[in-house]
Amino acid sequence: MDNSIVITTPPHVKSRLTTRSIMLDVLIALAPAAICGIVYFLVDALILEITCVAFAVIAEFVYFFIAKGGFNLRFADSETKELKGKIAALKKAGRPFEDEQAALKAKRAALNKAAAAKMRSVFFSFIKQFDFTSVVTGLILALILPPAVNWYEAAIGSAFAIIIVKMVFGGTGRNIANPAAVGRVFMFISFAITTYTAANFGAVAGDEITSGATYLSGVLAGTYEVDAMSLADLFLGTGLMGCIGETCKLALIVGYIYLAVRKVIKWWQPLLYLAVLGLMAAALNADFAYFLPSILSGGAMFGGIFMFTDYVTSPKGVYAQIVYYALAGILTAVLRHFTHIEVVSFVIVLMNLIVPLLDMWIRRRPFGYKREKKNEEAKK
Amino acid sequence: MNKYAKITLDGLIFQNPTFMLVLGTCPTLGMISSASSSLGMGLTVVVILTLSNMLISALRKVIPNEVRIPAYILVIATLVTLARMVLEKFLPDLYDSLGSFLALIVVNCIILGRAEAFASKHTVVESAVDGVATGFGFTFAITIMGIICEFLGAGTIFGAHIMDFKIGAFTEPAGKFIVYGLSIAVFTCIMNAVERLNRERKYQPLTRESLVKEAI
Amino acid sequence: MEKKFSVKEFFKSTAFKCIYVLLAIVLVCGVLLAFCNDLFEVTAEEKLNRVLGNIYPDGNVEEIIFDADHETDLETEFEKGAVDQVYLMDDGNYLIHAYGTGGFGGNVYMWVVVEMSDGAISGIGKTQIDKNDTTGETYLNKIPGAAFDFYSENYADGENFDVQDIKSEGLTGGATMSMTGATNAVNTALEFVRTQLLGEETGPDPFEGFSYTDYIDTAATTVEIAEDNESVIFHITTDTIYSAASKVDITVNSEGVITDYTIVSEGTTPGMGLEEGIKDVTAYENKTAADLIPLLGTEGEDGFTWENADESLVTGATMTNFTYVYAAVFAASNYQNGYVMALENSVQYTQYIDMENTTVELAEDGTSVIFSIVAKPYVFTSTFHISITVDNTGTITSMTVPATPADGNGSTEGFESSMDENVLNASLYIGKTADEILDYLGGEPKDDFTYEDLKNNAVADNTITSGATYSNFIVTYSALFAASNYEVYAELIPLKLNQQMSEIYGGSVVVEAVSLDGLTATVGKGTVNTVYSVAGTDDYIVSATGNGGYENGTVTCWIVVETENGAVSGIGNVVIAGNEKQSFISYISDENLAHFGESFDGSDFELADWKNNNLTGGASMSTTAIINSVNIAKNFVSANLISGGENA
Repeated sequence: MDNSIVITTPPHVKSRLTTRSIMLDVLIALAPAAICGIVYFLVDALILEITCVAFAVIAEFVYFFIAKGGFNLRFADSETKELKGKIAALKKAGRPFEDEQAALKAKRAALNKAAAAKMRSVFFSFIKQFDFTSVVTGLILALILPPAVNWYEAAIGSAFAIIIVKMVFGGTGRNIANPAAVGRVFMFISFAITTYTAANFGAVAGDEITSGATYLSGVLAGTYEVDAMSLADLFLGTGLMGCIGETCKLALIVGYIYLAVRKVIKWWQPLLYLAVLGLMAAALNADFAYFLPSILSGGAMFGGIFMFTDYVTSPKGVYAQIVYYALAGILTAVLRHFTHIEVVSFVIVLMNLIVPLLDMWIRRRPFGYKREKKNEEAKK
Repeated sequence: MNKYAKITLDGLIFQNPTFMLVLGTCPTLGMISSASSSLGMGLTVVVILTLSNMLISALRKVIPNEVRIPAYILVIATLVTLARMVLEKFLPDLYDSLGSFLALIVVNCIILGRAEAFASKHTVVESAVDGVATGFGFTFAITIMGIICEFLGAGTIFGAHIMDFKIGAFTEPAGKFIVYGLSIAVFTCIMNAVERLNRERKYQPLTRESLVKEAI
Repeated sequence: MEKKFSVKEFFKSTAFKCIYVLLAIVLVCGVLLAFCNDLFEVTAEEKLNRVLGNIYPDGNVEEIIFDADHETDLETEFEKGAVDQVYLMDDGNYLIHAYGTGGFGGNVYMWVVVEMSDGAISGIGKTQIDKNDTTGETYLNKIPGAAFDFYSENYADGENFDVQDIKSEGLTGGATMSMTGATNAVNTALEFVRTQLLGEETGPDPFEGFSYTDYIDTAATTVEIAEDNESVIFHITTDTIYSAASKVDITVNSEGVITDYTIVSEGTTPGMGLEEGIKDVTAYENKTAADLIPLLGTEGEDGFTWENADESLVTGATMTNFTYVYAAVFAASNYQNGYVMALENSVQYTQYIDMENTTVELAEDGTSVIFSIVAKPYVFTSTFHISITVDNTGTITSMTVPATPADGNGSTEGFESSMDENVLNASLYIGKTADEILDYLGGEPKDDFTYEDLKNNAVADNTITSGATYSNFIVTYSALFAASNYEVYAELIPLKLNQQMSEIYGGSVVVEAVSLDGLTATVGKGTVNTVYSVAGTDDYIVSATGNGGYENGTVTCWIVVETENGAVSGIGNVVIAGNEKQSFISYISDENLAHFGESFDGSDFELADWKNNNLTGGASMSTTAIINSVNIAKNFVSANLISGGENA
């Protein structure tokens, strides 16, 4: 179809920004974390990343294919049926039926060709509208999994995330919650994922935790002092146990800077979330020493940078966004403190679900609104 | 088709209480973790629904309109209590597997809903047929969902161990909700397809040949 | 125009119709249900038969020990549950219906088969949850069937089941609280069989710490203090010799010398001509344990046995001779322990006192005794908490009776203000001795006082018989208890302390408390609780609590700190006294604790040392807490108790 005439409703803004380009930016931002994951956790991480992305894309493709009638093919229609009936009658009567058979063959071939063409066209239209959102979802899901997860569990989680959370509700831009977060939650409650293996490198400075719980769950349960691991270790992810994309914070910060510079996300959003999280954690434990470690441990940074900032599932107005991130930070700190497990995925899902409420209650600045004082000055 | 066939088909398919009317979701979500308990629940509901429909239909002229809900509840509660006693005496295993959901049948929307919508306006025999049909519609629906949830969540079907791979989410209410929703979607899809095929079968495409055929 | 209310109209109106229709339905349904309830009733017997069909298909009930229709005197309520039906099956096993607390919705009822063989528990058979009586366990369906096989597969003699073990095997299915209730039910059933049917002791063995108890029947042996207030008379019942037990009375003086040995009844089968072989026991008088031990012969792996007895004992009645010598050794070695035990047994007026929860301690002045009494419930009262101080003349110097139930007044609610005011402010008791308080109760010492004794003895014009009589009585009785037992406790408390410290020190010692006034008790990672100095040496026994344990918990230890020439010279025994949240404390081995003494070099102990020597046993955090406590003790002694050159 010729795309030179595009009909949309105003306001019209001409820009080179498409969903695809934004998603590519996000992928580039995720690349350091993904690579770090492979470096720290070797083959396990690689398998997980590939499996998740592959199954996400496959799931989207299968759904699209079925929905667009890729399987709604006709290999036989009324004409072929008629011909078949004729051939059967001729056979019975013992008369030659070659003509009819040739006609039948030709008809069948035509139908097959049409079916194949249809399948091809559906396939191509899929590729045309493929906007890499499922690749991003798959990669994000892979990066928040611990390396010990089996590939089939990751595959199921990934497929679940795409199909149930995104496609069933209408595809890109219509998901009710962050698909990767929901997929992670689904896997959390379905499969007992309890073992966390330590990163490839030993600790750079200070002690290392070699057995049992991860640093975060240890601190939350009171098993470890908050200074059990040095900040440098937490920052670099060396000697740390956790999920494959979350451990090296340096890589995450590189991704963050890239996204902020490219204006894909607003720079203040993750910072607000992390700051509130840290302050709340410090307040709950009545000890300021908890500020940095709680930011640097678990999935908080990854969630704050890549998952909370998803356009579809965060509020539209600025004030609503402020409330959203602050509330998310508070909720994360509180839930972490009282349930002693890593709750970022759960908080993401919870916050996503109340976003429509926030949008409804918190008034937005109307598009094009300028303050009256400035208007009057301009008039004068 | 005759009256009773229509009532039966309505109860079983076209107004299936679980998939079409979405009634009685509480016992559904409670029992579909295992196929055998959902089958048990379904059959119990069949019996109670039929009896309650018959009773209420018999009393429909007597009960004044203002107090119909309390009266229905009284009747249904009595029936459920009777059912509990009988089950405890003669079928203790079923009684155990139903647990606390047996008492919840009193406020099961299906029974109250059918009593209100159907039994109070139709004769005893019709109400009985409706009760049986709706009950079996419910049974069939939750048994199917029970099989799916049990298979995915525990790897067994009716207790027979099939596979070791379990997805724990389907034993939680979250997974059951998802299965329920997807089942409604599938059911509606099938219904739509059947309807469409029916329509296509009835109406011939309007072409010159078909008109000519008709004319000849 | 308003319609006038007329009766006729009312009867025709719909309101009336509604009422009578509803009433009619209710009546009919009610009658029907009542009828059917009787018809379909499931009797307890049927339930039992069903259960039997499930878990005991071939068994028959031989004897109903206890159920709803048959009462029993046996104790049926235990700490974490109770037993309500017990059946003895024809194959000797017990089928018990018990419930355990701690379930999600309350109690979890279970049927438990306790297998018996040769009169002892051999294991657990099939167990099954009673789903009818168990309500509120919403996750019951999640428990896999294999969970209940856990009990039969993992029965360990003498031990209770722990739900953590079941959880670690992944058998709870998420229904941990329900499994806790079920486990408590099984443990309760076990406890019932152990304590009630088999008569096992549940309390601590009073003869613990006594040496040479092998051939002594400790359940039947008693001690008392002789008339000279120093010697101890042991009324010993020995184990069965040949056919019966012997009873002997042995008196030991404070030097450990046997001053009297009398045979009360002999155990040897009479008339078998063995009497001549029995050596005269008076030969054992004026001897100490050290003199007599050689007669027991060589000590084998299992201790002394009569086969290895010294030649002089080997006559036709060797067993008897051996046993008599053994009894003498027992008595002579345990003078100290026996004295303490006899003192404890001489405490009077304990009928209404909860001895387990009552504590007695020496006041700071070293001579008065402070009683923190918890009185047992009596008829209408619940427990009273009263604290009384008695000085060294046997006079009560202070007494606090709580005024409200929240503070520990056990009167029935609302009655606490009806208690006599002179009882509440203790003016009746302060300044009085035991005899004077006895007068309130009739003046005659008795074993079994009741409130009637108070009632019938109005004291001058103090009518403490009015108002809350039972409460008044309990308070008076508690005062009597305190005043009468002052002397016993004044003597007992230091003795018990020495006994406890001797065990920790590893030798018989006398200790003296060191005052912590003005000294910092919190040093480093924990606190110092008490310090005792060991008489005759420069050593101290310190109780310190170290934190940094597992799950932020603590470990409290007794540490022997040795000093010499004004500096800490070593660490002796380290004994763990208690802990908070240390689930792995059982992994601390003796070698772990001994390492303190071995590796002492003056500096603080560090966990790395234990790790390098593989001594932590996996409980590193608990070891950390212990190390912290030892360091605290050492540093405290060094900083506060050794003052440089002054102790030269």
